[in-house]
Amino acid sequence: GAAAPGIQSPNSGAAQVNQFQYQQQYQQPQQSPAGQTPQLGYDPYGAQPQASTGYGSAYGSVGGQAGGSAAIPLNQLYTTDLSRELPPPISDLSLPPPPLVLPANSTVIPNSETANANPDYFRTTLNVVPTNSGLLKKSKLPLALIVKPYNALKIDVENIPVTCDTTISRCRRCRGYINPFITFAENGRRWRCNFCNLLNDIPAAFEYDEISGTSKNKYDRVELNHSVVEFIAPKEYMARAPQPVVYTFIIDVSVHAVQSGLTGTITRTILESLDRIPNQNKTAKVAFIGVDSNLHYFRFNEGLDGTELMIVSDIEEPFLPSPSGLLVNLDENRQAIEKLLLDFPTYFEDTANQGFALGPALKAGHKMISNIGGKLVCFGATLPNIGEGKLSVRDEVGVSGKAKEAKALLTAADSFYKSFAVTCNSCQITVDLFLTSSAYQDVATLSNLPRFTAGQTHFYPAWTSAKFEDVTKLSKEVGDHLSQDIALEAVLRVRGSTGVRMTSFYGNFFNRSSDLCSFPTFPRDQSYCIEMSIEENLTKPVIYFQAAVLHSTCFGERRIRVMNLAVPTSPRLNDVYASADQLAITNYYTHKAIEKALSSSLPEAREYLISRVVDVLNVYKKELVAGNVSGASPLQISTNLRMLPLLLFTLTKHLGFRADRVPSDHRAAALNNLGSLPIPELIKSIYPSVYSLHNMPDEAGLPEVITTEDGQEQAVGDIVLPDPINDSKASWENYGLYLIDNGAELFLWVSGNVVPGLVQDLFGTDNLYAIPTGKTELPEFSFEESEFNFRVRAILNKIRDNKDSIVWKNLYVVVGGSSNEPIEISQQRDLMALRMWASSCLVEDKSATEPSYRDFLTSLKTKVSQ
Amino acid sequence: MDFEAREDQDGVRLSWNRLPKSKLQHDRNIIPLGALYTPLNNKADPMVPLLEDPSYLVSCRGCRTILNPYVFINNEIWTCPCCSSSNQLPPLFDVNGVPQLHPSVTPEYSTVEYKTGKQAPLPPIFFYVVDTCFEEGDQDALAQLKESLVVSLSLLPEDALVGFISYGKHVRIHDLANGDNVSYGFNGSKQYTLEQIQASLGMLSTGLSSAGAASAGATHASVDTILGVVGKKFLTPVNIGEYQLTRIIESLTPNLFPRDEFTQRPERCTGSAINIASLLLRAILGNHIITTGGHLLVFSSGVCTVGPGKIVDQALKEPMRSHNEIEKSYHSMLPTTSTASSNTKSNISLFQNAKKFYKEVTKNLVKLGLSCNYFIGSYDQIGLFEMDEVCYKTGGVVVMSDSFTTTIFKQSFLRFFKKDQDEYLDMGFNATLEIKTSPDLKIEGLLGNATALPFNKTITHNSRMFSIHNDSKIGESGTNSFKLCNVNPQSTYAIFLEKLDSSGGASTIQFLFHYQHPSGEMRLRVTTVALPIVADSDTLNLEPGFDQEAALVLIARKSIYKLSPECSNQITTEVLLKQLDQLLVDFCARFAVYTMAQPESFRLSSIYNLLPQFIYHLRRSPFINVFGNSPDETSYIRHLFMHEDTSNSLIMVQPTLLSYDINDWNDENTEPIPVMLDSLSLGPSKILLLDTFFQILIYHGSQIAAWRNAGYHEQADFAYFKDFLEAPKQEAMILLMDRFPLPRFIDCDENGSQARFLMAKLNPSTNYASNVNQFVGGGVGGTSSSSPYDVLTDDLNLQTYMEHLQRLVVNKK
Ligand SMILES: [Zn+2]
Ligand SMILES: [Zn+2]
Repeated sequence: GAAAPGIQSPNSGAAQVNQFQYQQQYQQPQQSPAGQTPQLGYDPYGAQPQASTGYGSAYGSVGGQAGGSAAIPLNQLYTTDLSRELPPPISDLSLPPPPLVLPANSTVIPNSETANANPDYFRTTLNVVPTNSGLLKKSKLPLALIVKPYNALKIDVENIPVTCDTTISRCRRCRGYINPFITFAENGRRWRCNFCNLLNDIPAAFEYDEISGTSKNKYDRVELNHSVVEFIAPKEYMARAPQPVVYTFIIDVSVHAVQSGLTGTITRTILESLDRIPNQNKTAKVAFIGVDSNLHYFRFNEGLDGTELMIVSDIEEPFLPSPSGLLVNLDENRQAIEKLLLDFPTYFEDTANQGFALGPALKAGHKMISNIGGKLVCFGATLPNIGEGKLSVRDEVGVSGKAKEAKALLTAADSFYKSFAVTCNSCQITVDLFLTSSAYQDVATLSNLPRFTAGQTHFYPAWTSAKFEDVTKLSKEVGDHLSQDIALEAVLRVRGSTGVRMTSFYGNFFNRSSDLCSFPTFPRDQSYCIEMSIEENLTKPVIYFQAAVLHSTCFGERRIRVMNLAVPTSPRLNDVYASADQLAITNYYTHKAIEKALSSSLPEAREYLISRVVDVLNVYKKELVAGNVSGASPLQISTNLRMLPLLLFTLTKHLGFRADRVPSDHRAAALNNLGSLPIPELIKSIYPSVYSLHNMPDEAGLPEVITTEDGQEQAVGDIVLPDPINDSKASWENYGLYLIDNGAELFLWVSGNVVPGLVQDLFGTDNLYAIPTGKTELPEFSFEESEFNFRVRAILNKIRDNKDSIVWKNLYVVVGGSSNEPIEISQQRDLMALRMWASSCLVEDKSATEPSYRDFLTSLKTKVSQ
Repeated sequence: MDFEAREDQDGVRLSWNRLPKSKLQHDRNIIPLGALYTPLNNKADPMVPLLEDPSYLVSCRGCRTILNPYVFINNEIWTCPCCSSSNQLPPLFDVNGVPQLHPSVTPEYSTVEYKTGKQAPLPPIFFYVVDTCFEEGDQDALAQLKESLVVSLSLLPEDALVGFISYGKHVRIHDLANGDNVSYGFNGSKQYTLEQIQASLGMLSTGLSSAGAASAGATHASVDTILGVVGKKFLTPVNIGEYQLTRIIESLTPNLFPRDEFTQRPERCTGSAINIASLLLRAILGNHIITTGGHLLVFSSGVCTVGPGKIVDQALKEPMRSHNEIEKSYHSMLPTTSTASSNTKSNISLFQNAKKFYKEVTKNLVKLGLSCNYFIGSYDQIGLFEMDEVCYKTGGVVVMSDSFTTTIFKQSFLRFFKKDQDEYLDMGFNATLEIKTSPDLKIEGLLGNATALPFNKTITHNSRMFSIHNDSKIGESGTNSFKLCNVNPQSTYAIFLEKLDSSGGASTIQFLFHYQHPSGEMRLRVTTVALPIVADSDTLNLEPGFDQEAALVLIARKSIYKLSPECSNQITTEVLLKQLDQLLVDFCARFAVYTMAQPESFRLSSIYNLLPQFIYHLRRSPFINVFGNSPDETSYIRHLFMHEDTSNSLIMVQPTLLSYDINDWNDENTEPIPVMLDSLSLGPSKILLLDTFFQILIYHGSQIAAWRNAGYHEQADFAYFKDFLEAPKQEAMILLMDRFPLPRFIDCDENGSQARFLMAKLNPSTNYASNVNQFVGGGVGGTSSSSPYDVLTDDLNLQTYMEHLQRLVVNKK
């Protein structure tokens, strides 16, 4: 997305939004590269002069009467013919959603630009909400919220305003938090709730500081100024004192883990990450359990040197062999912990144990921390094959590609994992998985653990420490995972104005009651989706949503992060369509398709996605195409939704849904990712970014040049990326160099007929067939040695650098086919597989089983009623 | 006959050292025939002869009785006294080829030890099972226990195999081969099987590889081969493992899980720990050797509350079982086991399950030949009453103290490792006792720290050497062969014998004591006793053969046995007391001289006259009378009683009291006088020294105490008073020296609160001065009662008791 993390990104707080500019964007796709910060890139919501009346008449002609109140000109509807938009204008993918157009007086702080939500945190699928359920139904568009309460792994990278005291003013009736959309009444002594209209008292602390004895201005309160704020909670918001951060490491020590190097790599990584674990208060606790067919507990001598290893082979009813010393303060036992982590692999170096008693280990970990809560971080290289939760290999060959595939392979094989996860959730325990087996590991079943405990499943198929790149990826990701400033003991509650109801919740957490989602720990790299229904007619011009995350920070404060969103309503389909957010809608349909796949089948999930496209086109053609000219293209859609057909179509080709044979672990991992990725990563995963490097502009791969105040040009700022090109070989040269970023991996495609000079510049050899292919890294040349190599690596680093995701993308170098290539190269199976894999990212192209986007559009024509 | 001289030489005391010819006549003698056998008796002077050459060992071809001084030899043929077989006496020559008399037949060789030439497959095992369940306020006890444990390592033979288990809520087997302080944890609340332990420790898979090596030559198998790869982790020679084991001991921390201290006992799985220890040893040793010598050393600081063998629930509201409830449970067990009401205050089914559990553990240990020893450091009961069988039947010791910080524990524990003059541990391991009898004697059973073994059926005569009738069986019975897992110089076994009609001039009993000497040598000690047969009518010659001390100990052991659930005809204390009184009445009627209806005419000869007094004290003793003692205390003292030799047993029944009187104290006379256990022995000018075996008490009369408090003994003029004060202490030190466990030492003054321990032992006499040293003299005539036992109460004094007894006897029809 174009908007960078940070609340400062301004919002469309008033009706004076520059719609013209918005319109311009769609007519002339912006060249602003993805991922750039607002001050450097193009900002569609940039501060604008007060609306000039010059636009008024234009609005009057296209805007409607919204919500029965005074006329507000909403976003204008522009129509695009998909069949004329080929190749699809993919720069749309990096545009923000259509502006939220609110009446001038809708914020308590007049003309506040920070009052309405930053879409990075809180957005809806429809930035104009239909006034009744009939219209919503008719629109065939979904109404859902996308919540991403955190947008950086570390607290200090975000700058969320925090209240100055523990005064929390909430509506007595609906329990809504005071926010920028309330109104003052009775001479400012009371405030009227924007959700339920009740009058509430203004707390005295808003106007007078008892401690300093000074009077204050209530208009300065951050909660009245900002859409996203954090309240510091008083004692009443704690069931108990904030708990320390707890990491219990459950480490596979079976022969598979030891021989693949997982055990050693993980303990070294943990060792190297000890300083990064959030531990400002020096209260963080850690524990270690080694698992094969036995459970290996390590007992520390609280504050002293030396560890004891206690091996328990009775895994039937796991128990803790010691009442103390297993879970210890990281800071106080630092030396012993470091020594243990150094020695850890030596305990198991000669093992021949094939067992992996994950279930019992989890239960033991649960026992260890159940009175505090925290994380069980599991590292496994083996299918859990003994004890409770024991799994076996499922018959993939028999069902793969058949309708029953999803049911047979992608649903949980053992109910232990879900029920245990629910138990964990109620004890404030999160389970995170890092799975590295080269053989079947049943990701589908295991991923239930993180799913219901707000954790995450990380999948590293066939990982081995023999590969430097594998070690790098795992170490970096584990390190970043551990260093996240997680929140603890969190619950998320989402409120809406009267008439709107939250119906379904999607993401990794446990839905404890109708609208309460429980997060034992709150990760900072996931996103959540909430489906809504309209229960009553919406009579107000604006409705409100509020998401609140009650949590303890990792430094021991009880806080509530509150996000507010005000959305205009309209009884007109035009308005609804003109303000629909295609990325949020894609996010919503991704969840629905996953649900469909698991409850029905993969083909039905794909069919479901395609049907959604057909529905929308039908509605658009029937209801919204001006004059409904017969014979007009059936593929017309509002310009702001013109990427939706592409996204939903390419989603059907995603690893999680595609018809090709996919190992079920890979498919399960892919579906798991789709179900928790934030929108930018999700979109990249559905529609990979491809960069053409051989002909990139001169400034690409170098820091952006900024002109300082005194007119000097300085190379500071971020590395400039080339603009992405379409995911299609049609645009490729057979001598080109392309970089593909699918959100998880990077492919550097060296075309078969590339000029030797480029190979020389990039790899330091002119022999194309001598360069290392597959998972690798580029050789490192200085700018002087090879500018091209330097710039390409700068681009890679820029793409890999991520503030809100732990994913570290491995680079795969792929040499494309050529008529001159030696026969032994063509016959390399690894290379063939790699080419196929990279090519599968080119989602606009035809694949073995799926049509190209162009063919898809053609097929759509017949499906849309004439 | 000097019974003590025989005891010194042979380690045997018998109630009857001469026997009438017929069974009928013997039965009329009331007092049963029994032997108190102390196999490792070390009082022999000169020492028990040791025959190095295994060829000296000559046994009867018919019944394997060993050649002994009591056989009849004629023309190089010796006739076996037990089976009458004729055996060739193997020729024996000295270095010069001169024919020699076989040493076994010389009279001094009534007890002789043979080296068998065999060696024990393993050095002795010392397996520590250590409680780590110590309360917050009890850390000192743990610290001192750890100290004692570390010291003990230096007292073990260099090659001794050590193992270590610690337990609290759970059990941990410590790996002694790994330098990283590794242990294997087991759930304390579960009862594991041998297979589970083997599987857990990875012993099932290694079985194949090591089995091959062992079968190559089991007798030559090295220690390493026997133990195997896995076994070596858990049993290691102390000289190799000492460093690691010391580290493990020093790093032990309390395994006490959080609980509500006001409502919950600590979670402690003593039963599980002992069970796992025994299973582990079986898993290690089971594949290669059948039995081996060694000890489980179990340390317990409290009651077992979880897992198998649990004594009481964790909840404090559930009280520990009382004597009363235990007794009730036995009675409810008899007719209908299952319908027992569950409304008793404490959970008596726990008691029954625990008994059953420890019986199983015992069987396993006996199979291995290992003994189990308890070292208790707990103010409260730990469940010894239920757990004792493990020690009792394996010859283990029990040391009961209030805490591991006490001298009683620390000194006793050190003494456990006492060495003999050759610096060998003063104990014999993994022994068997086989008893051969002449055809006129049958073994009824054995009472003591032993377990019956199946008799050797390949020798047909063995089956004739023991009783098979249920009503004549007692204790370990139905065999002539017994397992004695551990034997120390005090270990004494009571063997009860049935006397049949005799044909020869003597009855013969031979004890074959096969044991593992601490040196690793397998040795056989043979003691042969010949009991002359006298004519049925010859009371005169019978009389000198009666050993009333031995008789008392045998009666006492049998009485204790009758009160235990071991006994198939278990009886209540009340019934037992009546039986004892009846026995005494019958005894007196048989051996006293009196005129009918004239109590004052009653006389018992000195051969017989101590027994009534002994029985009187036995009746009052805590071995019989459990009132005022907890089940654990009762169990403890009974345990010790069933182990000690005759003289210590006598002290236990009838404590000794020495008197020092300042008025009689002078340069010539510094010896104390033994005085009656009677309140009349008290006096202000006296210091009394009481020895109950369990306690040694010094009591200062009021005058002595006053002088001492005034500091007279510190003045030069009163040096003699200082000596006077010191004398009892020195005497006490001498008593303490050889005592195991260390008795509790009490120093008290007249009217001091501790003096109650003395008062409790004294006969509540008021008028005995008239009757000093002669309890049975012509008493005061009294009215006879038609139901005399009714008035025999616990508070009855000796005089009254004797008067009743005499009246009863003389009035008997
Ligand atoms: Zn309200
Ligand atoms: Zn014979």
